[in-house]
Amino acid sequence: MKKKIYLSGPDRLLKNAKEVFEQKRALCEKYGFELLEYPEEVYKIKDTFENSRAVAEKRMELMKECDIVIADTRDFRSYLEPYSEVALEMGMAYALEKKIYSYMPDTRVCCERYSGETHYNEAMAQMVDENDVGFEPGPLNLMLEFSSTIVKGDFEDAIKKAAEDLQKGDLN
Amino acid sequence: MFIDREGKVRKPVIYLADFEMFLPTCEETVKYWKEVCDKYGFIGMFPGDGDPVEPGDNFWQRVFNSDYGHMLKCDVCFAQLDDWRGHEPDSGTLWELGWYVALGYPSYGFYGGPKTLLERKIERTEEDGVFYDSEGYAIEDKEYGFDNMLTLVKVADSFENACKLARADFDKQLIEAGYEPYKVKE
Repeated sequence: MKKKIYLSGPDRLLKNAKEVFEQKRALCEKYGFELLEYPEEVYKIKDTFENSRAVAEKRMELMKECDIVIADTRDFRSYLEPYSEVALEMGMAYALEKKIYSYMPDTRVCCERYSGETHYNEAMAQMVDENDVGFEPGPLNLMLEFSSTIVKGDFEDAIKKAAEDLQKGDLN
Repeated sequence: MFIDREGKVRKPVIYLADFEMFLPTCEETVKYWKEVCDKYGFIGMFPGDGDPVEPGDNFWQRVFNSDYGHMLKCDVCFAQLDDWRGHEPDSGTLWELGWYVALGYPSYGFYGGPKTLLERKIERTEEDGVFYDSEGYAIEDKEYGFDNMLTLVKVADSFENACKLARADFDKQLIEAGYEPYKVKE
């Protein structure tokens, strides 16, 4: 039986969200996986809070059904931080004992990816920015980093890595 | 006081999921949170509580293990959802919150920002009544300050109000089970 994948990322907010989903479904098929289908309402941009919550509950049920979560951890509306739903879903996936792959184009540590000034703050014993705000030690927050396999690249690179792990028996 | 998963009445231990450890004001903020927790009958637990992780091999993996170990000791999650490095909450905080939500633990957020996503100052363009950010992602319009999955969490506008929300939920359970509600300290 094919391993089932849950897609965690902001794609559903794109104008061509369904097209992008189909492209990713095709990639999953290519590497021997099944991409779980979101509930249709996930694509609605305007809705009531109650309906939105009902959709979130359906998505959590969908995640319970999957074997693997592929998470898009690229920066989103911020610097050095992924999309809020992705971080939340990675924590959920870890609690549900799912295998998690996160992908991003640049896997250098946060401090190196930061475009501003950095220095070491002795009192805080960590690297900080101009405002003495500290950085995570790795490419992602510690909890995301150590709960997932980080892949440098795009969605296909993550799927490819999952397929390699499956072949090696690491995903059984 | 609250009723735990074994039906025992005791003080709940609250996991304080936050980004304070990156800030110089961490110590005083956590001290304040713990005092407020005490007022409402909770025990606040900060991920940095206890002995510091010893330097050495696999240091960060051991820090992860330590944080995760603290999470396993808690009954409830309070998550700091204020903007962090942009227009999103801290990802580590969200990871921890998601862990508690998935396992059915009472989970609350606190956040002092705008009431809806649309009210956030996100650079945008409009097309057919929908707003898109500069990368082409739609900004959700769902009577809420966060994206879809975060609707699974009750969010208050301050730490103390999150305590009040949780207190009301726990008191309701206590009363239904025939116990007195907790008397909040003055």
